[in-house]
Amino acid sequence: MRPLSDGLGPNIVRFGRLLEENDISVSFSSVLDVLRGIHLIDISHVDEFYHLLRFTVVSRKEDIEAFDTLFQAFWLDNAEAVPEIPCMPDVAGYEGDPQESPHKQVSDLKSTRDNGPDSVKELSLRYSPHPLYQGIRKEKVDFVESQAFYESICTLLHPLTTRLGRRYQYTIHGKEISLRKILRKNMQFGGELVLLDFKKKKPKRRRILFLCDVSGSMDIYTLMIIQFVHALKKVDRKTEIFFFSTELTRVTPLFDFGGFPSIVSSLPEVVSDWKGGTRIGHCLSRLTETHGSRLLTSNAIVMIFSDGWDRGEIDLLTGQMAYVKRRTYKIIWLNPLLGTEGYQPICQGMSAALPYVDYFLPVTNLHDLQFLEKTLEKMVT
Amino acid sequence: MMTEKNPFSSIDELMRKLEEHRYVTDRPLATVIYLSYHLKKPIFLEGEAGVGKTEVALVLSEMINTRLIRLQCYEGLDANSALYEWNYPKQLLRIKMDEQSNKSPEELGHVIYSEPYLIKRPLLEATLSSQGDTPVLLIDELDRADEEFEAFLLEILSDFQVSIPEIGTLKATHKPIVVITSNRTRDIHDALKRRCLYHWIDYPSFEKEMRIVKARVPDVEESLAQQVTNFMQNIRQQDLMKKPGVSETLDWAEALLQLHKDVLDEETVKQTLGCILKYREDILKFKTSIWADSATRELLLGDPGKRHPR
Repeated sequence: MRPLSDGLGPNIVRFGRLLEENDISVSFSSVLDVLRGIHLIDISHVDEFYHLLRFTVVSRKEDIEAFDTLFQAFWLDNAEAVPEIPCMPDVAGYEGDPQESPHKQVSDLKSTRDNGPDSVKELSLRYSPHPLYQGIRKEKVDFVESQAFYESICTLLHPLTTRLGRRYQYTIHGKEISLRKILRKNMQFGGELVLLDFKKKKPKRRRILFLCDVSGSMDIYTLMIIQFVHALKKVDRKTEIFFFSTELTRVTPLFDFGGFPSIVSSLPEVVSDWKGGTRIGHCLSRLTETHGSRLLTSNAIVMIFSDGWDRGEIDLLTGQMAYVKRRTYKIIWLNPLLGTEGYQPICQGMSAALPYVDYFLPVTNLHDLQFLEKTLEKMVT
Repeated sequence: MMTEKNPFSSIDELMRKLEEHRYVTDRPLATVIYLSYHLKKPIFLEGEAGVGKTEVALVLSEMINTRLIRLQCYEGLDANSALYEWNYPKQLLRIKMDEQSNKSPEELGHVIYSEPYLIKRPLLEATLSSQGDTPVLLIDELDRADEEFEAFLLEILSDFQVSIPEIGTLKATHKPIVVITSNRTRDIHDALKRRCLYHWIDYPSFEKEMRIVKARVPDVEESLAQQVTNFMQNIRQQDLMKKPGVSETLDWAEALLQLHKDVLDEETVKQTLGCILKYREDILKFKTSIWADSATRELLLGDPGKRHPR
């Protein structure tokens, strides 16, 4: 047993606060575990101390890298080796100073040891250079945010997002009897089975994975689709949202916390290569690599909103579409050009992807989304 | 008579004991097991498929010579299937048998809701069994179960106390060593992870994978083991849908042994590709682009007998 040195306890608490500021959630019980665990390890070995902190505090693989960086900076004073902390840019729409170097951020981090909470906050703000950023042209589409709109999306998606789970619930009518309930209920009759009880499978929601093309050619539809996605997220909070052009960006957290206006203003900063080119195959492969095992499941519905003008590798797109098709329940492709008179899906990206698409639907405005309803109903019947 | 040293007396001792039981480990993993034992907290292991998560529990139970109780998770797993269930057919038969015996409904209730009619599921087994010694409870692939089950598990893991209305409250005297694994097909709720020590098991380094192959497939030639390990280390760098894990390495080494191969050549790789790649797209990609490139082919095959630079 080793006694705690005077400053260690408060330092651990301070380090916990630093992690919290950098979006690594630290519970009170895990701080207590660290303090209990200190007696079990050899504190003179930095590795053991590092492992104790990491195992008790970090609970997601994605946080390990940021934790390592903060650990180095806080405990080892190793500022030189510290790379930029990977954080989501601030939703409030911070426009960083392009001159600000990573070294500036590191020095901010060090100063947190001297109780400088503001500097930690600065660390989570990043400069993000998007040469093509021109903002969203709000004047092109009327913004309708009403309860009725959300309700219509809700009705629209209901048949699609519901399936029968494998968990049972008790009912008074049904086909399967529930012996558990029946035996208990009929004990009052000496075990004679007088009253019957049933069970049925409980409905479960499917998860929607929404992939939205934000390349230059899709610009005029962006605001409309953001409204749709915003409503979608309200209907089912588990919906995952990705925006893509030449690179893929996960924007689910933005829709989790942001109100509609703040989402609209911060999206062009968060999404890499906003209004850039289109590489659907590459973006799908990024999706399968990074989130594939978690999101591409047999219960998931993949919705792709794109005009299919792809400038990437077509073989890659075909392979990835085949993979996504096999892994998920349905693929719905929403194409804004499909509503145009005389449109044929002959551009190479669209024609390569089409064989793997279950439902190919036109969407140029919010009213078109009403057409989805009948299609979606068919899916579950 | 010499007394056996407690395997959990130090991290070094734990590593030595695990290796004795043919589980090649590294210091971080040994540290998390050591801390879990002393802090009495479950270990939450995440990692790609086939990196040896489940094996941790199997080896731990073997090492401390105790029971391994396994709960395999699946969608729809509920408290009845995980904790306890009454044997309904047996209860119905008993009711039929006692029809003429003039027993009151209360008396009959006491009979059919007693221990002989109880089917113990893994979590109850773990609670009861820990009244003797400390068992190892493996909750495998928790990500396959649904969120409702997680909430239930939270309750059980906090105090290992089970209340059965007709029998009473059963409480574990020694908390089991709990190992929870997940393949990350979905995120597990933070509330549960916070009650555990979290560790991510990555693919092993060349040296570690070599040691694993030699420990698990001891009959394999040193040079072949090196070639196989080198191949696997390099193929994981390729852009594949499903990267092969350590279990694939071991299966492959075993398969090559059965085929009496002592060198990995082009023909052998083609014949046994099914041992390492499990997706049609991956096999196709391997044949058309990876294997077709002579530089990559050389890199993968390495030089038998020589330690390949990585």
